[in-house]
Amino acid sequence: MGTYILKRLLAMIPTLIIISVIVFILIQLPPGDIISANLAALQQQGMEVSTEQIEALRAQYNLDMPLPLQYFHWIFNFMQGDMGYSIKYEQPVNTLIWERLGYTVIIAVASLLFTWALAIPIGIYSAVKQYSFGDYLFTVIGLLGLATPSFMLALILMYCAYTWFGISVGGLFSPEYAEAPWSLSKTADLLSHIWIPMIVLGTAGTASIMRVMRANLLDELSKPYVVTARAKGVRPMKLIFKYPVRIAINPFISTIGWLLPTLISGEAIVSIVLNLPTTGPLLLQALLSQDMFLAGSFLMLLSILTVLGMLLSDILLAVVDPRIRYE
Amino acid sequence: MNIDTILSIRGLSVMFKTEIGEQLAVNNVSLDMKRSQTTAIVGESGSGKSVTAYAMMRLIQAPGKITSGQIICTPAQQESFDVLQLADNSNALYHLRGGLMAMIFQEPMTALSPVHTIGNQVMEAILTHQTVTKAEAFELACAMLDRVGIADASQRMQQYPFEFSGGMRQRVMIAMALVCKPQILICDEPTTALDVTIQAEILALLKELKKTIQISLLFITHDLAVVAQIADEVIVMNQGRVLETGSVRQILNDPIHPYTQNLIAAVPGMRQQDRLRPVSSKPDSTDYPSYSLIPLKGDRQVALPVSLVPEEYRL
Repeated sequence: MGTYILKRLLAMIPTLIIISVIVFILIQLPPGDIISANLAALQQQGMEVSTEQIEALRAQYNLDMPLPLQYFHWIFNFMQGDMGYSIKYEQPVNTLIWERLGYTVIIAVASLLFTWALAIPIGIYSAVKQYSFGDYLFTVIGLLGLATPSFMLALILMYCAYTWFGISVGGLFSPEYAEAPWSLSKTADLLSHIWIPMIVLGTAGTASIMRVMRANLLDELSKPYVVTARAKGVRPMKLIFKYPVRIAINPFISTIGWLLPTLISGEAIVSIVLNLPTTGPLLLQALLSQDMFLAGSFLMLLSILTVLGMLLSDILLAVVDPRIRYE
Repeated sequence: MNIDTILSIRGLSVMFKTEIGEQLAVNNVSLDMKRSQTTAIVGESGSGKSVTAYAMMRLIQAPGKITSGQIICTPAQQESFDVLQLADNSNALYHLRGGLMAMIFQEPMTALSPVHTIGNQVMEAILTHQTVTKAEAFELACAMLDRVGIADASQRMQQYPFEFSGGMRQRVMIAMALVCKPQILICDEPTTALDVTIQAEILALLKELKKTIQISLLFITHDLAVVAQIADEVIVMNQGRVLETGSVRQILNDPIHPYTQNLIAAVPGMRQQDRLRPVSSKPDSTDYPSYSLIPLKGDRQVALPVSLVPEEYRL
């Protein structure tokens, strides 16, 4: 297992090098750069900017170097943990990203737990009581959840929360806590805000996980080892959870790793609607304004999380399934 | 029903609801299992032999349904009871499954859970039926695995089914079935999926076990060679009905029912020159109309009208 993980980690290095080159080229592809974009804005306001000033700005961000040099400059700084400076936000990328990433992780984990807590028991129920009234009912509700756009659900929930309970639920904090240092009451404030993004983001995934769980479990329920366990006299509840559910749940464990990259990019629209301080909207802004260090760092982080996520998936699957462990 | 009968099925019918209508997989079947003997049910695929066995342990699940009949079980030193009268989810039913009757299956490759160790699965059988500690269950399981011919049992307990060969897995299944000392062991084609040498080993093991622990075997198979090796009594089934019953000698050497005669004639011989004779079995069962079983001389039965039974067999 140890050597396997080490091998996989080493194999990640060439993958990431190739990705970093592609990311860099992609960022450079659109015509112009953030300096010329800023320049156009300044000139529209009637300000005169001298050529020397522009060149000085370019030099400050190393934009005057040949492209390969720019790449090495960027990637070596990145590896040392310095992700550069966001020209648009006039802040180091590090300070911009890390706090938002923290909130994103909290929201993503909360909505994931919500999804699983809802979808897996319902999936099990639907499979065990196949074609029952409950099975159909949950299927209809689940499909409704799948078909409703998340931002729409977000708007509806915000509207209901505001008109019925008089609480403003946008953002992650009430205004008085937004800049406050962490305390028990700030945490409580976070908890009172987080349920809306949790429900909105969680509902979207519920239907598909529910249906997949149902299908997986139906497959497993008819397997001979289930009959063996019944013939042994194992009680129904214990039987279902110990054998078929245990195996039907494996595919979900293997998808945990895939969630890592969606942490950053997954919920941009919902975050914008709900005014959440997460990474999605920031990534969108960075790409729109050609803020190369910010966008590049995001894309690199996404790639690293994707590759790490795959590894995490494989390790988890090996932990839960002995057949994979020994191959 | 005499005193030596451990299990007696009367008028059992099992119906399956399918898209093309209701199908009687088992149609008014009556049969007896003698205590401490090996009773073989032979028949082709779809003859209802497995369904009969599943019904004995109440393992029939939707879309199947037991529509009528009695399954009277008389365990040693206990009162008789009707298996079909036990309430769902009653303790008696869970005791019956695994405690009183146990079953081994055709496919040892899939009959064990792939993600649990052998030890876990064998110990589960013990812990379900006996009040012992885990350590005691471990010892019992080891002893039983050792008994069925698995070397290094305590080490192999930690292993998973995919680390065992087919024959070894079937030994595990046998150990798991016998570990709670059931009185009836149902073997549903236990050697069909194994190659011939392993088949012989498993049959020898079952025979040897039967000799040492007093157990009544119900052996379901389509393989007449296996029947000849292991059975005391034989029940011939076709299309959900019992066509003929008798001792292994009576059935194999001197079959009365034309279907049984066809079945035996279809066994390939060493010196056979001509084409194999297929057994005719039309699904509409017009070949073998539903006569009821009539008793004959020598404690045997056949499902034919008396007029078609040769004089010398009639009572």
